[in-house]
Amino acid sequence: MERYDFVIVGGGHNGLSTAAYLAKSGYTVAVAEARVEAGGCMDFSEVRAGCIIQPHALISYANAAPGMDHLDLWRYGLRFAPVKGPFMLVNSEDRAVLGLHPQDPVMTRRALEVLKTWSVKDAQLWEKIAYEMLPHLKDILRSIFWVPPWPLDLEYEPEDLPWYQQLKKVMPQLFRPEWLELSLVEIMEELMECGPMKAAMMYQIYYQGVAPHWRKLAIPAFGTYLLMNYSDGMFVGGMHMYAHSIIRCAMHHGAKIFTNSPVEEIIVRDNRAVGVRLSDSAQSKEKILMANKAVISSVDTQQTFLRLVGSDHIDKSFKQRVADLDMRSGSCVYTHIIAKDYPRCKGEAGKLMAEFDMPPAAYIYPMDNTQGYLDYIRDVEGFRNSGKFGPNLAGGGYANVTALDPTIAPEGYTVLGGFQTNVPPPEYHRDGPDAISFEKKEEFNKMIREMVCQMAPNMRDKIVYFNSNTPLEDEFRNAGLGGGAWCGPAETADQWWSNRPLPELSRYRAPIENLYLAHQSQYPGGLCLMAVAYNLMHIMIDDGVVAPKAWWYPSPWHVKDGDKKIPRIG
Amino acid sequence: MSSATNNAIDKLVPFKRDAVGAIPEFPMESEFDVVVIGGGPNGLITAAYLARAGMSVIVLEKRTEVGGGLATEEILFPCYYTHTHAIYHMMTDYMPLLQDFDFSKHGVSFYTPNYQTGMVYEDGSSFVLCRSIDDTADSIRRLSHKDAETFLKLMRTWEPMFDEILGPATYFPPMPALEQVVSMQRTEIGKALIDLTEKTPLEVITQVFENKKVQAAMLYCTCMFGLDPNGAGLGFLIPLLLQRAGWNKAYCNGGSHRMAAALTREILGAGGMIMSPAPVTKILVANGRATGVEMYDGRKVKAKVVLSSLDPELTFQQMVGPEHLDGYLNQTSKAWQLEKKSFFTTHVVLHEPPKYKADDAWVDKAFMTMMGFENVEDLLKYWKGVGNGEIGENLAGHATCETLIDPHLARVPPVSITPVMLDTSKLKPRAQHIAFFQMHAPYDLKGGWEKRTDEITEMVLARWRKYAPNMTKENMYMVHSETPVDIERRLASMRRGSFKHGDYIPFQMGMFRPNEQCSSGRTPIEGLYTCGASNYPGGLVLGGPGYLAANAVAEDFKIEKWWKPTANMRKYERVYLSK
Repeated sequence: MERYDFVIVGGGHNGLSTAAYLAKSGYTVAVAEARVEAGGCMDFSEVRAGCIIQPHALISYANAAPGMDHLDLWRYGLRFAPVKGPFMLVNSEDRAVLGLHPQDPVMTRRALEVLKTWSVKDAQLWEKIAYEMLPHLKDILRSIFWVPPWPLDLEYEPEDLPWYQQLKKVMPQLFRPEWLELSLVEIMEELMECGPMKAAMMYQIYYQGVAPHWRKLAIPAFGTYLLMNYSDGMFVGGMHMYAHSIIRCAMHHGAKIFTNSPVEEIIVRDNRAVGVRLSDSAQSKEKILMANKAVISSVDTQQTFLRLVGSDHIDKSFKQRVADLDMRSGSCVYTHIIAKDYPRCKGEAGKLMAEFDMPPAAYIYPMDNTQGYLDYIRDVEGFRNSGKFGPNLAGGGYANVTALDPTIAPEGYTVLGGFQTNVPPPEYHRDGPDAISFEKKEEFNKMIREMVCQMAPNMRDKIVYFNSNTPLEDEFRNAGLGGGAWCGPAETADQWWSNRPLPELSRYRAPIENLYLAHQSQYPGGLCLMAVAYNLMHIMIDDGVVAPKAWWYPSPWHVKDGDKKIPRIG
Repeated sequence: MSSATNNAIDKLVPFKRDAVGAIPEFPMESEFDVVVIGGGPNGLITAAYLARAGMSVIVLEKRTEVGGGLATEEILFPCYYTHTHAIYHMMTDYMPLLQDFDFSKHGVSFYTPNYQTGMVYEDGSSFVLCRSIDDTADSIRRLSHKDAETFLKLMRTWEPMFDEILGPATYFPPMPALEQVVSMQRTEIGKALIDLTEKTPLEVITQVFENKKVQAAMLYCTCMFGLDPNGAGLGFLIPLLLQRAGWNKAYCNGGSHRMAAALTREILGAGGMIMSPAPVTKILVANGRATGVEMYDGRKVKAKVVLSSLDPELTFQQMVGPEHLDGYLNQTSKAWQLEKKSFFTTHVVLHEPPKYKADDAWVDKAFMTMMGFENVEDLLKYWKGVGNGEIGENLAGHATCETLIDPHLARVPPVSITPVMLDTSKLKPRAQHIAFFQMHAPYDLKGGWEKRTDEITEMVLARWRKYAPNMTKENMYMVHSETPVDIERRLASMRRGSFKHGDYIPFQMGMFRPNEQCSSGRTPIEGLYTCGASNYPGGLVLGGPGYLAANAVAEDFKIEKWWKPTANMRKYERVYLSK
């Protein structure tokens, strides 16, 4: 039996970043990770010699994170690869728009010019967003993601929400109170004309968890899009290097990380979490890790309560509500391609691409209009059935990662990935959990290969590796991804902010003393933002479990329990 | 602890791009006491010793993950991990590393299977080399009474040879040949070892054993890591390689990469740093002194000590540059010879483990199984073909099914945590096993690997199926082969698939590995040390070069060694090295 101040279940993004925060705060920390490697969704595989694919997280959304200041990840080797090359949004007639690169003024200017050929109205709108919003983006993003949901008993109006106050301040004409009720799709239909631009935004946002067609979530949905724009790149070496820098930070401050050490039980005595019991097969010599201060569960809500805590310690109605959580968020078939060339678009898109003397950073195809997106959603979310897609309906985006970071493939090779096709989670699939079988993978492979070659015929004889990962495989590779859900429970309005994942769990506390929750099931969900850890720190500091060090700063939007005052901007 | 500084990380100043969303990044210029090029086993070992000694250490690794040959990778993607290099460790009982550091606190443990190496022949006859010499003799007896007795007798001489000399000597700096001979004269075992030196593996094995089948298996074990069966002058390696590769394989639970993970934890825990991917392109030299390194992106790391774990050509010709070398170093580093044989490995995911047509029931349990040859002539013929860039249907190799001892490598139910939401009874059963077949192969294959990999994979599977009939297509969920070219692509330091960083030939061994000036880890360039497999005593994760380089640095910089020689090293020192 070993004793630590904190024991963390799960060494994925949130478990590791929480470990780094706590270790740097001076506490002894142990992390128990089931897999061979820590890192969770920040993982990689060199599936072919010299070529790295990233099975989950790919690009950085976290540049605005306070954790970048708090954890000094740069000391542990973190380096950044800003986006280079155009972001091709191509429609089925081979016409293209360019995605905006707010960090690259030349590219942004060109993108606005191209957008103007589609719609003057859209170009004006995006010029405003690109130039007026950018300097304030960090504050805006922090007001959405890096703040603990407010206490349930705080009385406030929707217009008091941090992100609304923040946006209203920056762009008073654009943001109106109706935005708080509408979906982003509705707003975009009103404000924008360019079909491919709208469709591409919708797909990209959808992949990030907060679906743009869900009501009341327009601003958070837009926020996830802005996260990508603000960071505008990836970490050198890919997401696993981000994991390395967090792991190395944690270890540098004394944290212990045990891999191949699945947790079997969160030990609860007198309604208090006191430690964890590891599986007999765990490689850690000690099978019991005791926690002086708290146990932190960084696995999803369902596993935490239904498997690790167990029925004896939770009441029946709570158990039922945990079991009923809507887990259909971001379950997808994720495709990676390794090729001996990069896709060269044809037609007008090809001409636009040729303007740049470097390969594109990303492609998204075929992007036609809002209807295309909605048809796709109907098949994924509505029928709970897959296999209805044809090459013209699949959509999807993927980054040409070698263009950003040469350490990811040898010269002459291009890694394209991942190409995301959302499908129902195995649990919800009409034809049973095994519906997307190995044979089905081959079907997806074929369909996506066809789509890529349709956009860029040069790819027909250049592809050397092709793999489609299914949600079931995700779930087994990465036990934190219940339902293969990339973003935890669906980020719908009733599982968001103070409702995430359930109202009584939204402040990262469990109905069991000394048990805290740090999985993406908590607010604000996934995307490797170091946000769950940062938000949780507020609560543990309020609870007196953690004493803040000099480097710590809280969110200006944080409301302590019992506090009745609504934070105001400025 | 010495007075060396260990707060280099705290002193760093971040680099920041001029852009709105830019984050602080690792500085363009930084300073540490020690910079290690290459995070393979030896680079990590040196770094771990020196970091704990209080020096500020940074390891720069070209790949995403450190470990070099200690690689457990999910190349059977998704869900199945396998080994692209080191599968087991041959020296766990001798490595000072494992006594100096307590790896068990990082959850690292080793398992030495009793059924070590099986050998199957076409007619179904077979035997197994076991951890227990007596078990092995009993198994050999079914092929030859005489060889069983010979084996027992031989081990009476060879075992002490290993225990007293070969094992501990691995972790002492090499001696000039003449001195070595003189020191060996002090004991009978030493004399016996010297007698072996000028003999070739083929001579020794065929003279000792009479049965053709036994001869073949023993020769394979002795030469599987690249010892030339017809080469004279390295005879002292015969007992070492036969014993170690034959029946002293220890498996690191969770895969060989766990050992790298433990070293990482030691380095970081002692205030050191590891950076990856961080390819080094240049060793900075000023006024005959190494002052640091430069990375591919222009980042510079300054250091008092630069340690290179790469081979002499990469270190001296490419990174230092010939302008900084004297004639001898220039010439020897240019003339460095890589290995003539590399490996071709076919990795498979299986529904059921291989079941061999073998009369010894232990073969199916054996950690490794050799097949594809009936006698030494078959083997020599195959190896000769490899030397000429050929692979034929007569291929010979060895296979392992790692999941028999380590189910963690397959992340599928029931080993993987069963998701709570799923009714797993509704799921089709998943393939549970990973295995591989490995054989010697040329880097320059006639016709080229790109064109012929699929064809050769088919050949391998057909050969495997001949000995294990259940190795059918239906039993295989995934198949993927790695060629010598892939070895080089994964680990650039293993040029031309040279996994020991250089051939095992007399003038590249002992004092001459990599050359007379550098075999102790020191080089003629002040501040520059070499610590990789191209240094004495060589590759195969012995951990020798890294240990010796750490000793050399500690001695040169007057750093107090916190570690002591192991008991068998002290005994060796007393008997063979004392004045």
